[in-house]
Amino acid sequence: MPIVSILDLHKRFDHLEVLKGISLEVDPGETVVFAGPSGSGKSTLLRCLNGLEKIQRGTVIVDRVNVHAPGTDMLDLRRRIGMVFQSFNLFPHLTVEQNITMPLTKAKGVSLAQAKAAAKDLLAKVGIGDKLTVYPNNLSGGQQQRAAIARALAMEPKVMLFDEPTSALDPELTGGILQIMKDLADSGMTMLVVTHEMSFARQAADRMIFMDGGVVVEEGEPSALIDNPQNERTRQFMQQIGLK
Amino acid sequence: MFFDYDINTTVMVKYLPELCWGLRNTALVSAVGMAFALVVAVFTALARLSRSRLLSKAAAAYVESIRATPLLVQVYFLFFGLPELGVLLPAFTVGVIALALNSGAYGAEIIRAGIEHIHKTQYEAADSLALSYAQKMRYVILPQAFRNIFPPLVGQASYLVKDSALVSVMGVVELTKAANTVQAETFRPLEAFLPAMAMYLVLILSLIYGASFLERRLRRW
Amino acid sequence: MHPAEALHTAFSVFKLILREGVPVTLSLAVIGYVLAMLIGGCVGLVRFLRMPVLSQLLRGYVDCMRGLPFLMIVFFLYYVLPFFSIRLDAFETAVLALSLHSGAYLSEIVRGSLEAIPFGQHEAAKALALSPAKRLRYVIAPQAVRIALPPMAGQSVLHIKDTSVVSIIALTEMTRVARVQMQSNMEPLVTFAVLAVMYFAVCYPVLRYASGLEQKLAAKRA
Ligand SMILES: Nc1ncnc2c1ncn2[C@@H]1O[C@H](COP(=O)(O)OP(=O)(O)OP(=O)(O)O)[C@@H](O)[C@H]1O
Ligand SMILES: [Mg+2]
Repeated sequence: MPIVSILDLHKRFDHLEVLKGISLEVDPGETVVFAGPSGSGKSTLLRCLNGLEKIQRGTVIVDRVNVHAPGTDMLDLRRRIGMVFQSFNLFPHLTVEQNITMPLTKAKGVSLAQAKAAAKDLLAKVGIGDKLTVYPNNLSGGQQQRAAIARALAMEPKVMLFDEPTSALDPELTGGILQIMKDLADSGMTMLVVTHEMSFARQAADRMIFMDGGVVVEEGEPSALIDNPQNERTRQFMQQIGLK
Repeated sequence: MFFDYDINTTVMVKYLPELCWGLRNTALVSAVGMAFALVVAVFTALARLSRSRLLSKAAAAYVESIRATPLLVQVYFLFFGLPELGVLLPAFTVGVIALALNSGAYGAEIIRAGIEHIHKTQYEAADSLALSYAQKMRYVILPQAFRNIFPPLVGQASYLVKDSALVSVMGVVELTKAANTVQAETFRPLEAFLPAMAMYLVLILSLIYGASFLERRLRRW
Repeated sequence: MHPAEALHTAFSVFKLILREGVPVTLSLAVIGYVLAMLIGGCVGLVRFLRMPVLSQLLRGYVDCMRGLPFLMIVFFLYYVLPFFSIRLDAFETAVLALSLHSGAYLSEIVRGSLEAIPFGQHEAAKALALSPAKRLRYVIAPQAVRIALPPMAGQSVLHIKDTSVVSIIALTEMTRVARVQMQSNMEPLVTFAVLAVMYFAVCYPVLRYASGLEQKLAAKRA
């Protein structure tokens, strides 16, 4: 049984229709990469999954919860979905450790001692075990994104959403983040990842989805989609990516 | 030339108690004014940020009318106008009201800007971590807003003390009026004004420098 | 009071303020602000350049202006200057007080804007072999002006509003005309409402202009 299922999803901003009927399913443990030109609706799609955006039509079900049904307990849903943003979005007034312990104690009711232990453990895993008491603005972009991933993972989510987690980073810093994500995928996490890092898609993803103009244009096994796209728009996009 | 004027320390000392009385009233009208200004500012800012268009527009109209008219005109309007409406209040109270309404409008703008300055991604990050509305406000938004708001509010308090001199036109004997009275009695303006000015400088500059100290101090993240 | 009567009073107050008050208030505002900009530019520049001694003295001047009520400054000049054989009439005293007071605030704006230009701009200008004066003239100052413009417009509103305070030393400008008129017509609400609307008509557009400039600047920086 799929853990994420989306059926005929439509999303509009005022008069701009951004998602025009998306349907897809993701199985537990699967890693799916989304690619597509800017403005194609990739971020919006991810944000509909944890209810950061409201939708106009269709159904989104995550871990058996109907996300956009009227009586849905959003907090309960969001405890099961982790999200990593392009711009990190750490809380600047909290230390790296507090960024993890605050939501863990407040939103999940974990004891402070347990939360601290979890923070220490996770920060070590993402390679910044020495930055516990540092404020985010004193970290490099790569370190901030590591902390943001640790913060999301600390909630022990069943599904992780990544929205271009490396595109705000210098090229030499992206490798480390992608490795963390690959390890996470290998460990069996269900992941929906928007990225233009084709090497990550090849190595870590089970499936790749190409979007354009608010619809799914093509989907398939990552290497096949990258090397041998069937659709003309996918081909053009892969060429442009390849040129960079 | 400057040396023609011998400062008469005897006169200065003799009238010092009157200046101190003025200082007391300046401090009092300012402190009470600040307390009420804060209340006015918080409620006006909440109204401005509220979803109700009517409330928000009304708050905006209030803030703009205060900012676009002189405090002295506001003082006259209240002092001479309230009795005509049958509201008889002591001058001191009218002074507090005028200062609170005036500084409250500026304070509301400071609070609004401090909250609006927080990027929408901070709300989204809090949401994605399953924080409730109250938790999001308590642990994410308000601590950051406080840092944006508190130093400029202290700066605004320094303007309020400066402005408190204008309540003298209603006969409240605060520091400026006290100094002017001493000057008129003795014909020795320096003996009257210099101590009064020193008192003002201590009071107002500590607020101004306090605000910039806080600004730096709270910037620890 | 009957509405028609109120309207009549309002109109006669308006005409009186317009005829006897507005010209003086406008001269105070314009002359005072031009002088204030001269003072603010010079003082701000000296403090930006950290010229020894002069910088410290001018900091004392700025702190005195920021740390004293404007009314106190007006009284001080009005009553103390004659003792040193400087005889100014009420208008001249008012212009002096206004320009010294606004000038101090403007100097802080000028200094702050100059200091806001990133170090890299100075370095780039140096690397292009520009002299210190030319670096300031062609690289730093033009960028600083853009930053300074919105708060300078905002300061001009405070300046206009401060002109009302000099009515207390018996200078007949808008506020004084209204104050005197109120005593004869015994209609404080109408009289001061008309006065307030007249100030509003001048200040509000400037406020809007200032916040428009500010938003444009913020948008460009983002
Ligand atoms: N809050 C919003 N209000 C109005 N329009 C929006 C909003 N958010 C997104 N859009 C519009 O929706 C469209 C899709 O945006 P989205 O961010 O989902 O694209 P994307 O595929 O993630 O692009 P990118 O690669 O640039 O991140 C764009 O045209 C964007 O301008
Ligand atoms: Mg996007």
